[in-house]
Amino acid sequence: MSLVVEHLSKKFGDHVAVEDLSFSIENPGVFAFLGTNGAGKSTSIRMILGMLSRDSGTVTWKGQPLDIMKEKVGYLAEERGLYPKYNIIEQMYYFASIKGMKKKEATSAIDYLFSRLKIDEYRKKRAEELSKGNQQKVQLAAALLCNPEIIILDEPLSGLDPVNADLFKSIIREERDSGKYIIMSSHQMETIEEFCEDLVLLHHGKVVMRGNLNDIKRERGRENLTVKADKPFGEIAQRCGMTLVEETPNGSDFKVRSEEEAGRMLKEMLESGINVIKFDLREPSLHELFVEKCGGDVNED
Amino acid sequence: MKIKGWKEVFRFTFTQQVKTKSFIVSTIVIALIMALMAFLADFLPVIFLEDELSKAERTVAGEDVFTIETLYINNESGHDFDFTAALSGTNVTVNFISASEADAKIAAIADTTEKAMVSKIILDESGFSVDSRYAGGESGVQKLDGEVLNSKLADSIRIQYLASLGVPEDQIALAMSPVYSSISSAGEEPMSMIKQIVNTVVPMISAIVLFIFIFSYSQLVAQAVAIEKSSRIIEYLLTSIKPLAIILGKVLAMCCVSLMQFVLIGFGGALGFLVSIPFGIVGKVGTMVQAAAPMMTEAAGAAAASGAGAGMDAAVVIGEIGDAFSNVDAGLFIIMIVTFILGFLFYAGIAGLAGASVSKMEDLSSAIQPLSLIGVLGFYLAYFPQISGEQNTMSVVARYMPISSPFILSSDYMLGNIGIAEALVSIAVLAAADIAVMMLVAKVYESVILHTGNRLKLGDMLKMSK
Repeated sequence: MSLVVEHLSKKFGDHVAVEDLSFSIENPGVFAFLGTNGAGKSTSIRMILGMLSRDSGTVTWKGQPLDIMKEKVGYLAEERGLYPKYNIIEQMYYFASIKGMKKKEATSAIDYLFSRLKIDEYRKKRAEELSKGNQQKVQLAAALLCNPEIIILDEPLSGLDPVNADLFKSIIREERDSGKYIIMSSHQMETIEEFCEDLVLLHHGKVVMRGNLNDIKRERGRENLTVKADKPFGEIAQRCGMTLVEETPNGSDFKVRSEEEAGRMLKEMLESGINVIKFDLREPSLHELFVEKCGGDVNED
Repeated sequence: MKIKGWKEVFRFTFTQQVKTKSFIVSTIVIALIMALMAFLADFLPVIFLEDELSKAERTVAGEDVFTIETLYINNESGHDFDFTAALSGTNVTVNFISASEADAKIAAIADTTEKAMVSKIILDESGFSVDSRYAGGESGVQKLDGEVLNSKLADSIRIQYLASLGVPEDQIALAMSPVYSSISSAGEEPMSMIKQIVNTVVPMISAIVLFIFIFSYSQLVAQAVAIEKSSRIIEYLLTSIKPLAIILGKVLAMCCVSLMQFVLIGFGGALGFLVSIPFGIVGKVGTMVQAAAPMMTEAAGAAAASGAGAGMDAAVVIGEIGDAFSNVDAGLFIIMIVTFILGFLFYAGIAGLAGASVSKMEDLSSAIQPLSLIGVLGFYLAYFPQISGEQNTMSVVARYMPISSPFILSSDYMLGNIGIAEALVSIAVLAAADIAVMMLVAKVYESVILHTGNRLKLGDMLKMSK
């Protein structure tokens, strides 16, 4: 196992920010670190990185305690920034120098990343002159500057337009494919589903869901059904024990107790001469799992 | 303990700071102002004291060139006098005239271009007297020249009269030499006025300048720390370096920037002074003192008799000012630099904590209020005892208090108020305070640097760092 987090806990006064957080990332790839606002994600990340002292717990990397002063770690914080008055290229060289990079090495990395992120033209601008999206690109470049083995991306796509979001995704894919260990925190569940196989979900500092996303979904089974037809079918649904969740232009969403019930309903609809336009029985989405685990008691702090 | 990364923080902070327009403009402008002030301080007295200097220069240099070219003498004393010897080597021609001619001449030179003076020598019950009128109008005759010539005539009359009585030459020389006298207090010698002025002005100016430099740059440290926190750049930095390395690099960089500006501005002042020397009062008086030195030692009487008094007065003033700065040596510069750095570390350390206590720039001004309070208290503690120009209990307290000693220690040493041992004790106290502040910073800064939300008070910060 490469990155192992065991029993991390942190209290601020009487407030428990993180309680007994454990997970491991065994292979390169993207690991989802999820949670509601104020669930303790940033606190956990800071503890993992050693920026914040832990009340208890350990973080090991390849069997040794993780020391970010020695290991190459890239971090794109949720609350990120640049020096507003200094020019971009000088900031990048500074970031490279504190990462222990030589000037030549830094120049090569900056040239590649700036070209890849299409921000070459902003090299000599001050950070305050850049749009938020372009600042975010510079920050991603800074995070990837030292070619880190471990990359922590906290809400990497927030505030980006679709074009730049795609650009970021392609870079994340590139890093993943080159064998990096990536921890990604995001509230965009589609993005998480697109990249991540394993996840941990925090709520009020506690782990409420953990494991492989496909396994979790498989365990839950196909319980969501969307049906669209050319005639009303409410009675049939009721008779078959379906629970109506929502009516939308795309059809009616039901919660089903078993796949057999869904099959019986489809059979009855067809036998009644109803023309079925859409009949989609599927596993719960990550969004639905998230809301189910955390939806009843969301901390909006 | 190895603190990785502080050099990179130092280099970046220093480079960015010296590249700012405010630094470049303020350094150039203040250095130019200092150069101008130093030049004017040396040069303006030459304009205001032109006559006195001219006289002193000529007499000290033995250049008896007068603006009076013709001296009309009406001798009514009944004794014959010959002024050839007294006026030899000068450009003055002597013409003896009658009383009526003298009156006519006085009327004639009232408004004329003739460079002349009329002198009447009279003997009455009170003794000899020389009553002279110098040419007015556009003659260009200087009153001082008239005074010097009058003095020469008076001395010559006295010498010739004594000779006529049969007094030997050596006795006359002895009689004509000035009688030097001295007086001193049986108790502690009171401070001369010049030394008192120097002792008042120098520490006050020094305290103001040091306070401005140390305090304003400390505030920049607080601002830099607050910018890193409020812009969230700190989160990125902490993935590579420890908080202590960040604050250490930043404080040392700002210290060097302020020291550099201090030196550059001082260099501007020194340059202005050096440029002024050929034209300024210091250069002129210095030349006179050198020239007058042999006269003062070998022929003081003759020099005094020939009007070298002004040069000697200037020499005395310069000497007293020199005495006031009794400790200007290499040790002073070392003490100045060390005190500046230690004083800066003390205030910048506190400023760093103030900056770390806020997460929004708008909270910074209230966060640095305690720093301002300490700084202003330290400044007044250093400043006020100097007003009297004498040492008192407050001066001693100020010298050893870390909040005030950075502003006063150098001038105390420079003026000889303290010796090297006392200076070292004061530096040791300041260094100990620096260590205490830096230990506090190391303990607290790491705990609060990632805190967001309301401004933290010192109590909160200490609690968080436990």
